[in-house]
Amino acid sequence: MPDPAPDVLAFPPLPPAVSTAPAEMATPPAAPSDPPPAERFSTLDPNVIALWRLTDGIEWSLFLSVAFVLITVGTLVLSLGMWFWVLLAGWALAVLFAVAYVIRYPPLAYRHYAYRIDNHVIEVGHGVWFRESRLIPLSRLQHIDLRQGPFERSYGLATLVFHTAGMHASSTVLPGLPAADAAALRNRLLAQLQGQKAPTAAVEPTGETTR
Amino acid sequence: MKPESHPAALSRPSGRLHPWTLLFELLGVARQLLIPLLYWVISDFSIFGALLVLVFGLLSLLLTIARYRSFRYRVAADELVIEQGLLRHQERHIPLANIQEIRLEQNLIQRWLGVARADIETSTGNGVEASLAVLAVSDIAHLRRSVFGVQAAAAVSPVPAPDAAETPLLALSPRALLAAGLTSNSIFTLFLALGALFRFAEEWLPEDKRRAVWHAIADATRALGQQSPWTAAALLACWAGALLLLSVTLSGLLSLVRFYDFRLTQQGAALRRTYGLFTRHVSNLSPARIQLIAVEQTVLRRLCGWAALRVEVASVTYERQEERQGRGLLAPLVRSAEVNNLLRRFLADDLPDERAWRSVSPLAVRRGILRRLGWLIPAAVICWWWWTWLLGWLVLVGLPVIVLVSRLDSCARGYIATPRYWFVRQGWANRVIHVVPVQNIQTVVIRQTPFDRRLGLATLILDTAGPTPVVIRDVPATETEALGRCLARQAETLAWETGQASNRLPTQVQPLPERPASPLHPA
Repeated sequence: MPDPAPDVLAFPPLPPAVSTAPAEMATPPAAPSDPPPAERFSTLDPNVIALWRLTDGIEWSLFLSVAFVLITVGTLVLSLGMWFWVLLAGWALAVLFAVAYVIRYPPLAYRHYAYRIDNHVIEVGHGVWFRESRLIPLSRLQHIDLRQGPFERSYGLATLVFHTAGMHASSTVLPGLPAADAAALRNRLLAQLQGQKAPTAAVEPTGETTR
Repeated sequence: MKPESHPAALSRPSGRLHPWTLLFELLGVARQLLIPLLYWVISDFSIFGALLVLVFGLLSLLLTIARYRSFRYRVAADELVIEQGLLRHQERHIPLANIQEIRLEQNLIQRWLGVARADIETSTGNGVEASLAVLAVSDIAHLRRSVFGVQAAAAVSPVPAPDAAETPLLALSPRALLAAGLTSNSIFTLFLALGALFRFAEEWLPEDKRRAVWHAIADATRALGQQSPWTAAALLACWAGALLLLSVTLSGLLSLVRFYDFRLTQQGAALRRTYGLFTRHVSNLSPARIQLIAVEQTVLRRLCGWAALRVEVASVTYERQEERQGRGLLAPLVRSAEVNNLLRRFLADDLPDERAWRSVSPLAVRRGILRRLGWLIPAAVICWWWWTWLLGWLVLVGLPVIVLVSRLDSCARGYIATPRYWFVRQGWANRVIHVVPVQNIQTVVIRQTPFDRRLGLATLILDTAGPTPVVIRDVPATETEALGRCLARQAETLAWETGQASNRLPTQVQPLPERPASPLHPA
């Protein structure tokens, strides 16, 4: 064998120096419009807790009523007899869980939702058990949706959806913003994008220019 | 093909398709006429049958000629105009700036006649935008030169003229192609072949023959069951070995046919690949379209010191499986040592040092073991249910294997973050190194499952416009967060810089610097 294969084990990994990692990456040369140093994360509008309770409550009650109908009809059709009570007990447990969920979960979710938008990057983090945070370089934005469902409207809230040309994380949702703030934010971002539209050659391959 | 000095001075291509188009269209008509013709033959050449053939044939013939006569294309100042349609006249204007690629495809007959189909792909990512079938090869060259010539003239950067000489980057001999096929993970070829065989049997074998085959298989299985366990195992192993051999041979041949006379050349900024034995493919690829480069090594290739280079382009929906397999491949087989030379042509920066690989957290081993135990435990339970004696063996053999594999796996994973490119390595058996240009990263995602949080780990996902996201698992959470933030910021700054300093396009093909060192795959 003239050319020995590169072996994984031949190159012992460096000790994981946690703190030095970012320092190793050469810091990007400062652009003229450098952002203010590390803005703090913003939270959503607290009204969103009530909104989520409402929507979750509606979803759960729909689901549970369908389940109840299925259980009763199923018992009659299949003549399950005593099994009905077992199923009913299960259903009652589900109701208890749903009530607890609707009361307890939205505040938790609210506490874990945070976003930060500076001159370079949009950052949205969420998730109570499974956490996820998305960082979108501003110039990658393809378009921004402003959504407002009927319930959201009654609470004066709105949802922003950021779309990129990515294949797997192409849309990032930011719910629970006060409607006026959401519109202002969108307009600010769009203006910023317009201002630097020329430099976005990087996203050119997916071209939104032809539509 | 005489070289012209000024792209603007080129005569703009315009006109009809090549007259041979009629021939290929007529072949299509003949295929449509098959049923009336069959009817005619079956009905003992009856008058009605003849009439049917005549009416259908004449209609299709007229339509074909009309279609041919109504089809025109021309290159205007900054767009390609395609006119077609007789009753419903259609005129399509494709801005030249949006044309990413003009792909040429030729089957045997077309090659013999000197014509080809030209598929025009645009940046909308919907695959082929328009198809010119068929044009003379020289016309396609003319079209390509004028389209990409206009693009080059429009670009601010001093892109070399597209009719610059082609520099060969890579040419593969049949032997190398055969080796590429033999060392590809060929188990899938086997399944493909078996599937094809099965479909063939379904369609063409008569019922009794098919039943005979099934009986033979059933008999063989029963006979196997009556043997002693050792004989049975040996027989099975023999069969599996034979099938594997068959599959390896098949994939070798397939690779030879598909990539026959593979040549990768560089013409101006564009890369051009030419390959194929029966159907010849010629495709141009602009480096700006590359979302990520993957250096792939199957186990066998690693043992032999070979690798394959694959690129992913922005979301193109492919029509055919075969095309997809060929399209992404930049180099079906290169020596590991040469990978770096090739890579250097696509990257604006120098390659990082081999010692720069950062490993994932050592806790990854533990997580890997736990994850894989998730497979072992159910297997052990099933074994315990049927054959108790196997359980001990399974646990005895399985546990060390799992530990070893987890160790190897976590050692294999690593990444290098440079300001312009990320290198991500993974795979303990089949090795892949992804090279992601930072300016192509669309979104950075950081994920944490509850298990991750308990160990203080996180997953970093780099999403590009290409089909595979690059995933780095089991990185310490603090590191992940810092890396992610820094990366997103860099991506933004880079885009900004690119716009400012428009005389420099980072993904452009760079001239090859003379450097012997090969950090990614040291010889």
